[in-house]
Amino acid sequence: MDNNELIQLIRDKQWDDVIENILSCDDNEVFKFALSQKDCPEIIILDLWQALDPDVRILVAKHPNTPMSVLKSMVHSDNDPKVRRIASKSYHMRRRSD
Amino acid sequence: MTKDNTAVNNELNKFNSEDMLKFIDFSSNAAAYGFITSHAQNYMRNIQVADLLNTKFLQSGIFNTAKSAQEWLNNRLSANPDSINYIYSVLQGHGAGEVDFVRYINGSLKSLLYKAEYATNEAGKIVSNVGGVDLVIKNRFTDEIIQRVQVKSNWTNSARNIKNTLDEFLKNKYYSPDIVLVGPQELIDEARKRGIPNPLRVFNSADDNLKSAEHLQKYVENGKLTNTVFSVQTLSELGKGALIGGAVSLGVSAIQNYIALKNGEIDIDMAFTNIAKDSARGAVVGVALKGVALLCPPGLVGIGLGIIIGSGLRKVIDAAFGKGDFEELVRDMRIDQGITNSYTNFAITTYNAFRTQKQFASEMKTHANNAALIDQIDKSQDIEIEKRMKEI
Repeated sequence: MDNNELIQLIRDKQWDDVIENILSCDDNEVFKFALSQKDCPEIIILDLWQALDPDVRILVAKHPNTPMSVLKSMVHSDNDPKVRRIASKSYHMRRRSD
Repeated sequence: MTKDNTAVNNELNKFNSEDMLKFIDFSSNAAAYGFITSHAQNYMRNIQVADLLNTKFLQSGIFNTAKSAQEWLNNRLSANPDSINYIYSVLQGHGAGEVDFVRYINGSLKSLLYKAEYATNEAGKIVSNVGGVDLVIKNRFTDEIIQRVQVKSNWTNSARNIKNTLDEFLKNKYYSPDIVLVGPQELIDEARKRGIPNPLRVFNSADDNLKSAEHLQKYVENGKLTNTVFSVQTLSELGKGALIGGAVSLGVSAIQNYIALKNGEIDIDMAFTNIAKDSARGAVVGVALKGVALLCPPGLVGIGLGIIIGSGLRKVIDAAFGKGDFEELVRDMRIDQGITNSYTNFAITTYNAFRTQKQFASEMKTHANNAALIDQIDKSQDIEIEKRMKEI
């Protein structure tokens, strides 16, 4: 499956197929496009939260479906201070609203 | 007693103590060699799998370190235990299936003429979605591509799974009848039944693939799937064969091979290789060495590699020598320094090589840490200098 097909699947919200194929594309632009969707499933976030590109990780840190455990790990171990700061903000806001 | 064992028994009746010591000497060396090399090979294979996965899934960072792979797997399984099939498709489908086939081709006699390589895209990068092809087999001398190969690594042999795999293969937009389809026995049988025109090649079975996937899953779960060869962890693992927790099992085939060697039916290389292979297969890792020390010459016990006399072999030896006599014989070996020399030399060589490498790796790690520290200090100083420059 090429990247255009994958982007179309994301647009069509065919999440099961996206989950199966997103890692294989290995493309940051596709990752960002998936993470910019509000309904991006948690399982995709679990595949992408350790991405090399900090911009991808920032989208993970801001996403409402990111599990608290992942946010916590990002706060503690992400090597980019900006990502840590955003993850920390999301984590505390989420805790407050819970 | 089976027919084979009776034959062995008859031969053993002709053995004296000296013959038995020679047998133990020869077969223990072969067994130890088999264990160490197979352990090292298996470890290297896992590194190659991790390296291939890291190359294919580079941007996700999942296989960047053993720890990131471990976190990915644990998170995914706790979020959805049904993810196991997807995890197998990554570890086995994208990784081990291809690595094992490349190792198989490049380790065979054919590799004198041909070499297997992972397929690359137009940019020359190994990716997981190269159109319809996973590997290419090239002429070693001209670099000409001889065959293009698609490797399938089904780990279940359900009719539905096999059918879906073949359908996907045939419907792929890059499908071509000249692509070699490599897959488990069950898949290739079905492909033959359907009259698929592509060249077909059996590699492993669905059950082998499942075992491999499960093994890799455990490896990732335990945080051991490293993709670097030159790490302290790697060297420790490679050295483990000669260091601790290993025991090799000598079975009836060991003495059968030794007898064949003694009778001139096979040569020494063949006997050594056969015993090495069989013993490596029967390797017992992590066994309590205390329990088997009685049956081990001290040279090898000293470095922690035990030789277990398998129960089948024990029975035929007991039948020929009388119950308990063999134990006496091996106990005597413990004070016979001459017999241990060959083990000791072999063991010391392996052990020293390992220690040297480990020391080197530790030193390199210290230097790397120091370099990182200096780099950090440099950066802080740069910031400070920049700040002062602005003030000026």
